[in-house]
Amino acid sequence: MSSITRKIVVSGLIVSLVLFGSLGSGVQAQEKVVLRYADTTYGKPIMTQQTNWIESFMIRYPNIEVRAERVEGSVFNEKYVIQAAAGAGPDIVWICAPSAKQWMKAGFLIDLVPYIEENEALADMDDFFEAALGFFRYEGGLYGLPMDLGPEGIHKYNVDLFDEAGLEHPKKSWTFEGEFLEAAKRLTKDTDGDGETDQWGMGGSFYEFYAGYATYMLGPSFLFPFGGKVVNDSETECLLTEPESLRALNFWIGLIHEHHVAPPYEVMKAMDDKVFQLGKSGMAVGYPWDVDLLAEFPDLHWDAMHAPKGPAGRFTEVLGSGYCITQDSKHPDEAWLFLRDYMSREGLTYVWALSGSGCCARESAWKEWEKEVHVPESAYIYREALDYGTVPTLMGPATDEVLAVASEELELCLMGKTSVEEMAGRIKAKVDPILERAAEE
Amino acid sequence: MKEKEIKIFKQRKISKLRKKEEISFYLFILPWIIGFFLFSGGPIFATLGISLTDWSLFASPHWSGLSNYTRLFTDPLFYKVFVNTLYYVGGRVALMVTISLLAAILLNQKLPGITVFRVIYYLPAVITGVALSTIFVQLYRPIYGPFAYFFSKVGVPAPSWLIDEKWAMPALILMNFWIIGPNTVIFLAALQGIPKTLYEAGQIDGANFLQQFFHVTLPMLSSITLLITVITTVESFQVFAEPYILTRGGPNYSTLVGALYIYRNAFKYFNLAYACAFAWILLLIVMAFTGVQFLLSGHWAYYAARRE
Repeated sequence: MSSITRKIVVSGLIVSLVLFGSLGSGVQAQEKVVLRYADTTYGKPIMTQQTNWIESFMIRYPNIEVRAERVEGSVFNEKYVIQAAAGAGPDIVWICAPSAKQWMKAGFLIDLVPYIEENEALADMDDFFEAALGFFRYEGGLYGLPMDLGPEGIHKYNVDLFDEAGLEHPKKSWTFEGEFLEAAKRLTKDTDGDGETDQWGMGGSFYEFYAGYATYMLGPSFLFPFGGKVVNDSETECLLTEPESLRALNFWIGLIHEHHVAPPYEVMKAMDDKVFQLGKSGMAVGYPWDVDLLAEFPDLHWDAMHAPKGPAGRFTEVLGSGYCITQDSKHPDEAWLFLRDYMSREGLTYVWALSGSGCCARESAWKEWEKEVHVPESAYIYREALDYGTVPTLMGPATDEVLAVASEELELCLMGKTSVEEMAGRIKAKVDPILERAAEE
Repeated sequence: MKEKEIKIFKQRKISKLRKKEEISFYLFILPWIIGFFLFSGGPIFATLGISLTDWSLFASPHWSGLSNYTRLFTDPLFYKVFVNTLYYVGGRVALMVTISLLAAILLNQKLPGITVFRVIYYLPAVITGVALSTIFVQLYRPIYGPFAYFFSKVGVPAPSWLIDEKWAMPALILMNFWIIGPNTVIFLAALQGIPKTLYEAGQIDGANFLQQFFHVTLPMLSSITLLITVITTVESFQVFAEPYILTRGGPNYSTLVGALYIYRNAFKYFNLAYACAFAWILLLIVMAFTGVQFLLSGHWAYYAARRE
């Protein structure tokens, strides 16, 4: 069955199911209520599917009107944390996994367990990945339904560049200091013969500035394989000066300054961090969320790969997000109806899997997503990577401040202005007092 | 006796007129005063109260006295931010006042099509700070950016504008070249208000262009220069969009200025109380600077009305 035919068939089944089937037979609200639904922004395919789903929900529940508000992810928290603190939060709010703990601890969200227990069959909780639910568990409660989940690590490679270099495609048995580094060296080239390197083994998103911070290199995907860690488990002490962390950082920074297999900082900035998309790097940080973004580069032939192993094992950071009902909601019952409906197998499959944009928090929807046309051949690897996935190290109240401080120092090191040891020492000196203050608060 | 009566009559007349003018003045500013107390005054004074607590948004506030203010003075970034802010304010005020005055003098010439030039000079001012910053992100882009290209064509190594500690702040200051329009218009209006007789008198005395500029133009523009300097100073202390979009305060905090640090603490780290304390210190600094400017102005600003 072709992808388009499959999409039409699956969509048709879902629409008929939701219009005439069990999902529509939920408790009808008695009065007309308006739900404020705060979400982040997505690519066009998701937004279109999402709007369709919300409209279909409002047809099925004519007494509920869902008003969507959208704010870009990097500034989402600053708007809605303030609203929640002021007692004016929306009914339903999107929450990214690293922030969930703070929202739950602050008491901004309602526990969904009573709703789930009311009708366990409809909630269909067994289909969710436990790792995704884990982000929203707090002191015996469950404060959100997860929407997506995925690994973020060295998970993609350029098939054409590997073939041109006569390299075998990455295997699960690869190690960072072995085959990965060797391949990176062979992929690094001066393709136009002007004396300057213009193709690298590793690059793009390598030190991406997510929400303004150069954070990746301090994440579990980069430090854990070497036994390193950015902070201890209780988030009270920075561990970057430990030998294992230094070994990890030296390896990654060494790719730029020692082995010259990753683009210099200035080049990365000049190319707006699109080194991989432009076909200029062999391997890069990958995650299932960028599948639809990479589809915008039709000449790019890429595939998913397992994260190589380090001396301490194989790791990848697992991230995700979900939707929660705030304590400020005047209509939590109706908000639950919407949430359950949207996060159902059909909802997640229709909005996320069929738009090709997301690795869904439900296993059933995830498998549908893997069949989408622009999803790479080995997309199943992302699902397998969850087995060696680990949650972010930093999820406490000082996360943003620590990342901001570390990012400034990391930037200097990336530019070659400080050594790894200097950088780690400076970060520790600045971060420890922040962690100490946060622990006191 | 008659003279005295006339004086009293005149005083009464003036006093009535003044009263009328005062009433008009208060009526004119009434909407602003109402707006201020309704929408701004409350939040502003609330920040003073919040600054005396430990409120982090994620937990209830507790009274913490002056701890946020004492923390400010032990925060190494506070001093860095303070120096950066002064650097930006100093650089921007000097640039904006000087360049807009020079532009106004050029645009004050009687040349065919001068109106077109006046419009062209003013036009960039209608672009918001965010849009302008987005444009400059591209202009300053290393290696492939237009500025880098220009430098490569003239054989001069291009500065790494936004990723070099030494160049990041000058880059933020230099982009203000684009928004000299409003100041230029004010200077232009003031230039056109200078009596021609003063220049004629200067010419009769044999004054050349530069002498006329320094002894006629500048003194006659002094009150407007003061106004523009004060407004530009206050504006510069509030700079946010440019460093937020272009540099995010980096590299190595070299462009972390007051408003950006307040924003970071309040809305990124959720240290709301600390951000409020910083905001009050910044307010006091701005007030001190403005006060000093007014005090010093007595020595160099000329007000025709006061002289009369």
